[in-house]
Amino acid sequence: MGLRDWLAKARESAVGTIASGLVTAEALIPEEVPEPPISPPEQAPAPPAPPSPPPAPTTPTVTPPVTGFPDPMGFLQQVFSTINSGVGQITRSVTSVGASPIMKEGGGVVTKSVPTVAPKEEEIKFRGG
Amino acid sequence: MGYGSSVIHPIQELTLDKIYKIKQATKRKLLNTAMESKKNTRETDWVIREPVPGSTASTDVEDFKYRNTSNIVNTTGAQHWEIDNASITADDLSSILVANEAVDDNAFIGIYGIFDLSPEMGELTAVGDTPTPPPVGSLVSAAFHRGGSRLAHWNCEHLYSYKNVIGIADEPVIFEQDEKIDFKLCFTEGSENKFVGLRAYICEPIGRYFSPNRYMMDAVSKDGIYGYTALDGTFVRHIPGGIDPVQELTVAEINRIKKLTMDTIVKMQLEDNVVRSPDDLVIREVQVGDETNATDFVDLDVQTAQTSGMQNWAQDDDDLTSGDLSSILASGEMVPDGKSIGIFGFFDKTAIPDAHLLSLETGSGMLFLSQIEHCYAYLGDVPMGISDMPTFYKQTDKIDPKVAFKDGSFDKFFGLRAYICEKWGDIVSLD
Repeated sequence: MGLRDWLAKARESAVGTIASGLVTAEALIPEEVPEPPISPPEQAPAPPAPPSPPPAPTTPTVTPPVTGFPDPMGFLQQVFSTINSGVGQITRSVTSVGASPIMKEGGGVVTKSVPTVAPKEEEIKFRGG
Repeated sequence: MGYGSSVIHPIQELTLDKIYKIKQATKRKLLNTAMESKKNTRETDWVIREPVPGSTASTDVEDFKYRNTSNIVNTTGAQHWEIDNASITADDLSSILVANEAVDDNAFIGIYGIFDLSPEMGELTAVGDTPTPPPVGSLVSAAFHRGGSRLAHWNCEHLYSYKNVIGIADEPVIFEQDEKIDFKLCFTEGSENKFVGLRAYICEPIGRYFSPNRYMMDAVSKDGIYGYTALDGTFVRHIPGGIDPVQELTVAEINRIKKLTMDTIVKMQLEDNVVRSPDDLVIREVQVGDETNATDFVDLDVQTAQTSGMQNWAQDDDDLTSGDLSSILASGEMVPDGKSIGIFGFFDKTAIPDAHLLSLETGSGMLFLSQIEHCYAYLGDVPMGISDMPTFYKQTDKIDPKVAFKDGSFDKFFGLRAYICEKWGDIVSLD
């Protein structure tokens, strides 16, 4: 078998593996998934168009599941992206908690890191000053 | 920009969170204003406390002078909230400050509320008086002037619908250094002194009256006295200073302060090589009393024993000067060898309480200062105040807490919220 033939067989084998995985995954997802409402009720007035589109959200959003996988690789990338973003959020919140020395159970003073989150600014107005 | 507000809320109509935010915002505004006025300064160059009223004869501290003090308790000291009836014209807004009074140089004052101690049974109208509360509900309104401008006007009558007469302003009033100020109060009658005080902060340079030591600075933040940690664990930039009535703090905030105090006195012991591990240390409340005659033990000795052999917080009237800061421990008292102490508040079990000024000093200076009268406006509760800037003393430090009482002619039962850290076995056994 030449190298070209070997590569072709390997590619077929890989596609087969992915496809079988997708079949398994498909079986886990209910066929009838209620879709989120796309448009408001007829009685409700159409919302006015915003003057300018809002900035893109920084937090990844998960789209509602749909039956079938028109783009299986895109779906997997989305899953991994969501997982990764979640891991990132957890890591950030852990490193941000507390800035004071705390006592370990059983002894030992531990100093946590200074938080990196910007402080909140309160909307209190003043007279004078 | 939106509409303005010259509204005063009964404190009962605000959440603890809102009260906290108004107080913190006032501190922040004062700090920013101070740093803008003194360009070469940083946050760590300033401290914040409650302002102290007084007269030209005040011996300890005075931030603005009353117009009249001839009829009030402690005419010379006058460092407590009491409006002399000579300053009051019934049904008129009456100036309570001396004419042409101005904010001191390098000082910045923020007023965020008002309270009336009159409903509190036991407020004295004169030294030696039988405690008789002045007329309830006689305050009508308050106005705050800068030069010719009235910056705020609060009608306060609705505050009396609640048991505790405390009002918190929607928009606090800020006075900068050297500005001409006048506080005007209107009462329905003017024949008796009034016990109305202001909820306020003053921002001043470190060292003007008091200087926190490095343990205090480090405790609040590694970066200096102004930390970035919130007491309740949220990411609010918290600015310490002064004493809060315990009723205005959440349990989480109180525990945060206690934990901060405990952690710091342990850290001090380790730094001082008293022990090698926190495992060797134990923390308990400080025990004060008559060291010479105590059956058991005391950590800190009083001057004159209120009762021979006492093992509790109490001050004999022999040691007190009316209206002046008076030492409540024995002269030259030191933190015992091998121990450290953190003080984070006070309580007052005196039947007729009249404390108004607290300073925590060493042999050579003042570490902490607070006008504590606002903590006495919660009717029926034993007054208690908690500070978000605990004060620390290491082993063999001279420790000299001082309290000013309006009437020093009778015994007091004023105590400090304080922890002591020591080795297992000193008092408490490990096993």
